[in-house]
Parts: sequence; structure tokens; C-alpha cells
Amino acid sequence: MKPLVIAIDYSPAGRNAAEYGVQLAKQLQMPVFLFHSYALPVLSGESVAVPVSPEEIEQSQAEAIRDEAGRLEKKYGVKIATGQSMGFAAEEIGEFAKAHSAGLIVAGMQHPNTAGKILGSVTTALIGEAEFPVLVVPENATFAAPKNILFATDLKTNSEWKELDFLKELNAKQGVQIHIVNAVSKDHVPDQAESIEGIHLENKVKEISHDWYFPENDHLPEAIAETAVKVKAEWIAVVHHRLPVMKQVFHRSSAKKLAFNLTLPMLALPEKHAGILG
Amino acid sequence: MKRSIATGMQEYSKLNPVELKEVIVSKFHETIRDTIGMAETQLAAAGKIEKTEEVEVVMNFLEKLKHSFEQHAMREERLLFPLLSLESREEAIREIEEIGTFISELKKEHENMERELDLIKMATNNYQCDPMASPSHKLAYAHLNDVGQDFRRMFFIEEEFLFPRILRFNLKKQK
Repeated sequence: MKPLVIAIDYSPAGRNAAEYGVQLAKQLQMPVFLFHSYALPVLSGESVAVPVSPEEIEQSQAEAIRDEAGRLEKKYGVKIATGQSMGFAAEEIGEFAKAHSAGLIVAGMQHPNTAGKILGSVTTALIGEAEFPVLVVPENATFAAPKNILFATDLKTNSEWKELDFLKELNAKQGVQIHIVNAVSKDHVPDQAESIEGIHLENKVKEISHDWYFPENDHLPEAIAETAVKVKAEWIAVVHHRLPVMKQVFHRSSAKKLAFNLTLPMLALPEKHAGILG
Repeated sequence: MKRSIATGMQEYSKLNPVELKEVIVSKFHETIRDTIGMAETQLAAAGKIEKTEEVEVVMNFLEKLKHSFEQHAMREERLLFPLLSLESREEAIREIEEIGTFISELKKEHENMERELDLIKMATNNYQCDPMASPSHKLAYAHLNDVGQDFRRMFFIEEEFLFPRILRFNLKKQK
């Protein structure tokens, strides 16, 4: 089984993602890594701070992550390996995941009321670069084993729907029910390419239990959110190029309008990857 | 009656795929949706008056059939039928290697819905209810009888006329 890599930054969202990720790893029986990336502090000429050597910083980071791992191990009874490195977070996380042939990366998502942002720059960059599925966990999410995943699609793909492979594995190994939503505006006329890709997609998932939804709504994020509520989805899955729409699903204005539950993790699927769960 | 059915079928055989699609959507999909809705309403009313297990069982079976039908109709209306409306539909259909598989799946869904209809027919004792049953109960069973017939007609038209036409476009590529 491939490992699950949790990217932690010690913020409330990051810590919550770690709690979620460890429980998920236990559920999926995946080995788990807790990983932290840090940058060297830059001191100005007028700073009165005592300079700290890179070695001391590295040691202190290693201790911090081992402490956090130890706390989580004790709480959930799961063995957790750790890693840390200095550099740009998204790149370092990606490199670490590649080096350990990760099956899934878990990262945190700030609550929209906190800073008005939903996905931080690191998580956004991570999703953009990742060759792995990235599960983005909201700050207030509590763990629930996924039983229903809503895949939001615009019926466009660059990879013959290989992005569905992870979902098919979850269905095969965990009995997760897949729901597919293609939300369109009210005056939308399906074009040939969409119909053809829709048929390809249907054939890709024909052996697994799945449902389709085609809501017509000029506000696409609202349609996706409503469908997520309808099917009682624990996760919403998207391909990377749908990320801008998904950010709107979680934006405070959409969520308020719908009384939408903002605690739904989002699974960003890369357009091509190797087998995930191993 | 036999003559009008034969005439009806002859008429269908003359329709092109777009016209067949229009028939399926307007005469069957929409009608079936409406009739199922009416049956549900009457069953709910009957359930309040009579509180019998039979009505509850029939409602459960109808709920399953409704879900199966909606999934089937959505896939046809949103994935398959748009291809038929295009100027270049033959070319579009030829491009899809899996069209045969997709249509096989649609036919399997017909079989599943047939089984669900059979369950409703059994549970309703062939759509016959007690003479002392409420008017809602009787009306519900009449609607279920109608919708069963509509379903079977729709399956026949799709499998005898529409699907073979579509598959013929695809076979042209293989030749």
C-alpha cells in the first residue's frame, strides 16, 4: 500500500488536516508520513534577534514534527513517520511525495472567515504541481470515512478519464459510492465533444455503482453544492482545471446563500498518475 | 386494436433518429415522469387513509423504479440524444468506439426496470385493489398500470428502432 503524506504547517487548518489524514490513513490502511517544509528566517541589519544556524533550525524543526507525530500516534494508535525540509513548500512536499511514492497528499484549507482566502498559495501551488491526488481538508472538518464522493466535471478531459482511477480504487477497496455531477447553465446546449466525453466517462465507470446528476443553474457552484448535499457526499472530487469553480463553491457568499456545509473536504485529482492505493 | 398497433409501429419505422428521439422524450420520458408523480401522490394519500403494508411496499418499489428511470433518462437525454441532433451525427457516432457498449448498458437498464415493474405488478396484485380501497388507492393503481404499459412501449421503440439505427452508423466505421 502506498503511503499517505500529510503536509503540516502547524496552523489550526494544518493541524486539523493532520488529525483528518491520520484517521483516513488508518481507515485505508495506508502508511503515513507527516511532513513539514520551512524557510530560513531572513534577518535585517537592524534586527536584534540572535542569529540561529541552519543546523539548529533543522534540529528544532525535526523535534517539532516528531512531537506532533508522537501526539498523533498516541491519540490514534497509528505509526507515523516524519520528514522535513527547507525550501518552497509546494515543491518540497511534491518532491517528498515523489521520493516516497505517495498514494495521496493531505493538506489543510483555512476557514473562509479567517482570511477571506480558501486555498492558500501553497495548497494551490501543490495541486497545480502534484502528480498525486491532494485531499484538501477544511479547518472545521471532522473525520468521516468517505462513503459518497461527488465528482464534479465539465465533461472535458485530457487524459481519457484516467483521473477516475483513484475513485474506482476507492470504490473497489472501500465500497465508496461515486456520484457524477455535470452542472450547466440554463441556456447551455450540449456540444458534440461533451456528449462524446460523457459516453467515454460512462463507459469508464460502468462496472462500479454510480449515479449521474445534471443540474441546470446559472450559478454553477450553487448547483454543485446542492448536489453534494443531496447525495450526502463526504468529499467533492475535481480535476485540477476545475479548481476555480470549486473555490467558489467554498466561498463564503456561495456557502451563506446555500447554508452549505463548509466542512467538506475537496479531492483534487491529477489528470494522470500511477495506481494509488497500491 | 391490433391494426392500430401495427400502424403505429410502421409509423415508427419511418421516423429518422431525431424524430424517434423527439417521440421518446415528449411522448414517453415526460409522460412517464408525470404519471409516476401522480401515482406517488395518490399512494401517499392512500397511505394516510389506509395505513396498510401493501401501499408502503408499492411506494418503496416505485421509489426504486423512479430512481432507475431518472438515471436512465438523464443519460439518454444528456449524453446520447444530443449526438442525434447534430448535423454531423453520423460522423459523431462513428467517432465513439464504445457506443455499442453504452447502448448495451442502456438495454441492461431496461431489463432492470422490467424487473422493478414486475415487482410492482406483483405487489399490486396485477394492479387490482380491494373494492373497499380508497379512491386514491384505486387511482394510484390505475396510474401504475398506465406507466407500466408506457415503459414497455418505450423499451420496444428504443430497442427495435432507435438503437439499431444508431448502431448502424457506428458499424459503418468498422467496415
